[in-house]
Amino acid sequence: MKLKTSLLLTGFVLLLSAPLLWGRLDPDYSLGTVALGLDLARGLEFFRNLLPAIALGLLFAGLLRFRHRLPRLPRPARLDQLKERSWAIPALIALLWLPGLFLGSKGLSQATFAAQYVLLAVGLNITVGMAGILVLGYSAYFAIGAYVFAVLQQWIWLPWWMALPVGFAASALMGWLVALPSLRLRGDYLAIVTLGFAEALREILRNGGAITGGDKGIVIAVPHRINGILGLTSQQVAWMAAAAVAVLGVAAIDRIYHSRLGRAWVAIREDEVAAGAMGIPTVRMKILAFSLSAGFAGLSGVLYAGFTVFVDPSACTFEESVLVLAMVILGGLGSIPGSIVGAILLFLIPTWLRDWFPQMQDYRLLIFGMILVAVMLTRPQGLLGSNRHKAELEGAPE
Amino acid sequence: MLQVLINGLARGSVYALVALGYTMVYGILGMINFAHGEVFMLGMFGAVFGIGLCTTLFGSHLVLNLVLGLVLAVAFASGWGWANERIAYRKLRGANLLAPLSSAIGLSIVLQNFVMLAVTKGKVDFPHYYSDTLTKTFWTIGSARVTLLQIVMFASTGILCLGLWWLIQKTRMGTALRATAQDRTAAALMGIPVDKTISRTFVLGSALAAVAGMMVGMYQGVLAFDSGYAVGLKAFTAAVLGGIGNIPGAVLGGFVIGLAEDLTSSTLGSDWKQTTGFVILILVLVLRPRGILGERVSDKV
Amino acid sequence: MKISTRLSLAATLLALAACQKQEDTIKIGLAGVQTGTDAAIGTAPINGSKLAIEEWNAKGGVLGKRIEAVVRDDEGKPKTANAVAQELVSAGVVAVVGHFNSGCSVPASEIYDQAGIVQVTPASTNPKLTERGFQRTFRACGRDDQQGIVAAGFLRDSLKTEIVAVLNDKTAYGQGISEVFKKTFEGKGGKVPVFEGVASEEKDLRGVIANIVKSGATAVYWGGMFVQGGVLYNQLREAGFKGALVGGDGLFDNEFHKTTQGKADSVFLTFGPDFNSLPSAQGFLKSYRAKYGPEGSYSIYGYDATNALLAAIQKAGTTDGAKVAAALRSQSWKTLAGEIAFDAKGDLKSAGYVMWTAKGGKFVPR
Repeated sequence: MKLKTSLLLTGFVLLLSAPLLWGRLDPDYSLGTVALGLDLARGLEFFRNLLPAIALGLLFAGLLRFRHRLPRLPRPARLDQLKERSWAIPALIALLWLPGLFLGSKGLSQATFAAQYVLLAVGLNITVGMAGILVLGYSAYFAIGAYVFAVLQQWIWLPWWMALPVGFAASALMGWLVALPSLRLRGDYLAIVTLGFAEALREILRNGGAITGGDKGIVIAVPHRINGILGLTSQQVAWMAAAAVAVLGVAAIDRIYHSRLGRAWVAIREDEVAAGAMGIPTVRMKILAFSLSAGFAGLSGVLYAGFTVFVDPSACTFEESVLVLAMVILGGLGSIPGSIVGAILLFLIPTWLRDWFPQMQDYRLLIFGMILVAVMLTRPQGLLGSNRHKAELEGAPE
Repeated sequence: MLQVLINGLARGSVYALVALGYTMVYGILGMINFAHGEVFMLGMFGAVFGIGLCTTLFGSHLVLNLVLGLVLAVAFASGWGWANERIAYRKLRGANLLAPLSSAIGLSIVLQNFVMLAVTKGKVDFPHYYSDTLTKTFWTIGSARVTLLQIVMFASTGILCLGLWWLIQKTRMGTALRATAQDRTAAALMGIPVDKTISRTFVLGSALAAVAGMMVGMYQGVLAFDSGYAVGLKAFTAAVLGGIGNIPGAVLGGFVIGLAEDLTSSTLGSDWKQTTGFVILILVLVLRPRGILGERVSDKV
Repeated sequence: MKISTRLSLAATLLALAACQKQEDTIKIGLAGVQTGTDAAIGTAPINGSKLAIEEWNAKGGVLGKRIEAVVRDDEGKPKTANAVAQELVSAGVVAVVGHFNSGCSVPASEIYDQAGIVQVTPASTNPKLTERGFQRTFRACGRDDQQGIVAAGFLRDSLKTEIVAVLNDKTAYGQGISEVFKKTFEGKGGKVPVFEGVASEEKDLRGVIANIVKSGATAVYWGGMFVQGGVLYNQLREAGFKGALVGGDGLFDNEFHKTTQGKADSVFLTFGPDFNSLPSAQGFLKSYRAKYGPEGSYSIYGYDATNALLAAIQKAGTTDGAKVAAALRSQSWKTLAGEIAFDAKGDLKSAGYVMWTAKGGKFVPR
């Protein structure tokens, strides 16, 4: 976009936001009218609070622009070789034990949440990135995993590690059920159905009263939580559990990506008709992608419930779904390392910002939305997405 | 029962007006304008701010301020609607579905949070002085009551819909709109200013949403930054229900959803009122995605 | 980058991450809702607590150390409250005054109890908070079952109402208080033909109001907060409903009067006794107003809760949770609200709720 147009547009937006930012409503309650006053302080404060975010954003954009001048990261080829070794994964899991020792309680907590989000992002990437199915209601499957665990553990003995496969199965089943009637819909309709399902689920959870605890939520009983064992604190165990599940999950998904299944998904994403003509059972593949993706969300849900010992309908919000979607988009569609990076960035950076600049607490979502729009406008393939994806996303030039 | 009908029709008219915005944009661009609910919310705030401005400038003249406030609200919301398209959507026109939809979601989040941060996190009361005549004048029919505001809501939706119909069928701009919706490339070839037409569609939808916003502001008595999300989602459901891209469909859909909500509230209890919209959405998309009156979208490549 | 450079970089980052400032203070966590619709009402007790802490610090702190207030916002959401609780625990607070919403205090108390620290809430009224046998959870306010009982008694005995419609906002607080009301009211021979919940963001209540009008109820009991309470009042009157609107402490905010244009009539609610008019409270109110502006309904509760807590820590001579809890129970504490004492469960021994009513655009004791 030309500079002059950008400036004019910015000016127009500033003009439009002026009444909201600089105007103050002075209601007169006896008369019932309202007058408009000027409140310069509030407007200034708004921009002042945004300053750290803007600075950070510019820094990031600059880094991205000039990334070729930065020292190089290890070449992927060596990483691929490493992955093939059979001891790679157990070694990685063993290494993950280390941070559990010296990170403080808060750091561990953050790391555990980050690992859960990594699992979610990589899971969502299966449908959105690989198979090209846009899902807007991903948090529903996360909530199902968490709630199935929370509800069942009230009646039967179900410690968190036993609940993992249960959560996976329940969410995968639900994903399968939702996918069956919906996958023949157009892309955007499918996305909306997933959203509708998530919102409907949230309402059901809120109304569920006796079974789901309604808005009050359910507290996980002590024996079923992720508790400390063998001298480790519960937080250390939670971290290791989340990290281990994340590593295993990512490895599994990576294995799938490089199999016939993964290639089938890519083929479907690029041209469904052609893929069908080549003999790929497109509908079955898509349902599988959906189901699998939902299952991983369920895993993350169980971990979340075991760790925070509390589930309530806010696990199932649109805000959560969008956050995970943004992680996948930011990291790069179809790219597993991208989703990992995206998840870590979009979780840790706002958390750290909140610690360093507490006044920005309220601005978190605003900045997040702006990032989403900015990424779509400038670099839709995300940080680590491939150029092939970029071409797909941008479509044919008008 | 009659009360349920009245309430449902009142809500339905609001949904209808907002649904028109969704349906027109989808018809012409093939994308879901997620941020439209926020434009509606901006219309609500615009109305209150507009009335405030008029009161400061002119004193408390009921009719004058109300009318001027409406004009300002429409201008305000239309401005935002135009800016939304220009900034977040124009560049992504030909792109794969994910891009404009994500951009729209991001935009919706930005607008909502901006209003929250700029104005207030709590609620804003609609100045009663201006809404009192409308809310306190009523007629009784049997055991039910109809307030003047409800009649106004219903009537203005009707009038605006007629106006919209006239605009689309009988004016040049309307023809341009229909042509662009049908086949954008051909329309461009025929000399229709596509960009301008699309912008005008957004402005039109936003204007309607602003009127709805002001009425809802008076109807509810309080506004908040999150007032747009729920209405937006239900209005979108209405648009889909009636057939996306189909203008009479959106209106029909709006009334159906409004009535369904109040019917559910009356029979099953208001605990389930919110779920109605989502259930209808899922049912429509799964069973009859074309909607009641059939959709009107251009053939997408 | 060479391996050695990478390793040293990583080591530095890890060292920085693990590094924490050591300071010799006693940290008290102040948790409550500071954003969202309840922000105004929720900031009041936090400010009251801060004022108490300042006063103690001016007198030398507690146990000889300066008191540091660690303030966290739980946004009124249970999930955030959970995160806040874990944050406060890891920040090393020895006790917490908070949260505000029952829906936040209950899940947070699980974390505090596991961590072994004392929690005193100035405003969470859901009975469940103190019914789980947690030895370190206290509340410096009444309970919903008391509120519901008082309100039911008032409607039945004083106003002689027979049929009441009960609504709630589906939160822990709202559901709790309305369920107790219903049980008590029906127990006294009254009828509750309508018992429904509305989403807490819902601002068009005409649907449920139609049900209320149809049911023949002559009063409405609202278990919820003041924003919806105001909307409910307006729309009830619009529908021609002339009966009383009765609620709990969630109604107690000036914003209610703004929404109802100061003309609210036949509105009653349960709240603690009118402390703000007590002579003992005037000094506090003056300092509060000077620092934080107009006081809220809960400012005194925050102040009193913090004072009792700090006094108990001083008495116990240690910050150990169990000992502080025992100290809190060991005697009654002199506060602005009079003498308060905690029972075995952690509730106040006597927390008389009284009926207040709306008059001339304000809430006054009845």
